[in-house]
Amino acid sequence: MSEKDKSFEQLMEELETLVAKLEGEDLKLDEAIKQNERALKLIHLCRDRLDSARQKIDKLVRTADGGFEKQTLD
Amino acid sequence: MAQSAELNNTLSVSQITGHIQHTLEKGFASVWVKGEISNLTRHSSGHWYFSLKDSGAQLGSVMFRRQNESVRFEPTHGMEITAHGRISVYPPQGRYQLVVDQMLPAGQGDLHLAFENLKKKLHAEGLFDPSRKQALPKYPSKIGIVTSPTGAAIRDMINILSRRFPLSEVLILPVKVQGEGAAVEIATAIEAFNSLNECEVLLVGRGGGSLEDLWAFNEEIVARAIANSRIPIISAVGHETDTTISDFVADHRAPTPSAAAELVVPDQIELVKWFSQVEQSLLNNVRSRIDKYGLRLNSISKSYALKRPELMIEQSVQKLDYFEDRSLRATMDKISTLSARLDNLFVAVEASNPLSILEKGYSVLSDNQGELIRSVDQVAVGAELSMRVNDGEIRSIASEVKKRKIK
Repeated sequence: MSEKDKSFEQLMEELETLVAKLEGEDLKLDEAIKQNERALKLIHLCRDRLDSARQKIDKLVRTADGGFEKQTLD
Repeated sequence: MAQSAELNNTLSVSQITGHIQHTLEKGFASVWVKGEISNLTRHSSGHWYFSLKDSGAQLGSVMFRRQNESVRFEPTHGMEITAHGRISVYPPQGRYQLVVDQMLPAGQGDLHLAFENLKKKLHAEGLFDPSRKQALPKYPSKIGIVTSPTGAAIRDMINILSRRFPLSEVLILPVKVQGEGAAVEIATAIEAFNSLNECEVLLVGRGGGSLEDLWAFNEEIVARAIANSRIPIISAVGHETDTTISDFVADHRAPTPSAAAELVVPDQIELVKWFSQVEQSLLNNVRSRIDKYGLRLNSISKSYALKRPELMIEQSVQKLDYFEDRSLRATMDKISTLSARLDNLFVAVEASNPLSILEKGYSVLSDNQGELIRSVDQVAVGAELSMRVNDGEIRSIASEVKKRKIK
């Protein structure tokens, strides 16, 4: 799964796990540096997502057949 | 006999009153009573004294100032009310009364009764069990809202959601939140969200209003729809002080719709702050790791193990120096020994130099061939001889040769 397909929640979860791992002492230096880079990249990604986000608001309306249909609100 | 046994169990008035007090107060510690107010007296102390009655009985009642201050209507003589309280026995007068802590006009009292009954029923079914509560997603990508499309509640929620976490999409299902059919619409909306299955969390609620206004959220059909939802639900009905059945059944309860919006998403400002902190701590972490390894490298490089070759060289040099010294000293010793011996030899040689004998007055005799004369046999009469003395030579001729006789 590419970075773009991941939800913000997935990215945050990965970030939180990484940070917890990095704060534990057991990592080897090479590994720590690698994970660190990954964590910084995740932070960057999450920030970008937040920066570019504009709330999308839809409304469900009832259709004639009793179902629901989505309408975009602005 | 029987009479005397009963006589033996005779109680004092205080004792039996004590038993009655215990029985009544324990048996009616929390009751709802419906009746008509009569003989209401508002005492100067602030307490209210009155009776509750119906066609068949009456019950002396008191409502103390602390409790009656929160009564939101004006009770009057003849008014039908529903009161909540406990039975209390006053032994000095042998009287019991209802100590009221809540009072509602009869219509509202019916609602309260319905509320309490439904609450009891659903509680017994286990619908309020903490184990049923679903966790909320931390960063919901899509949030469903079931509320009225008009009114402050929906505006407040959208404002707060877009300010705090614009990443979450919002899907609204507008419903009637009060009046005829509201409960059915709310329940249907919750079911619709579940069959649509796009949202990760639902906000169900409305702004403040009277007990009747909020009533839809106390209806069983709404409670069951909430309980059956596979999507976690935050109930947000009215103000802080309002409690509805929906609040009990929902996975989470928010005091107001705005509070629900704050509860359901993280604050992006906080999140960005957290990013900076994490970024800093990550960098520090790697830096400190590198520093730590640096220090370790340093101390290792100073360690004995790595210093050993150096030490060994130093030691060898020392050894060499020592050998050098020793061999030098030995040589010197040898030389001085030898030179001492030489000196001795020189003295000996010097001493044995025949010429030095001449100094003492001896002389050396040789023939004209230079042959040393050691015996008379070498010399004939008339032979030329040469005699060396200390400071020269004397030539002479042998005039007589005599041989010493050997004994």
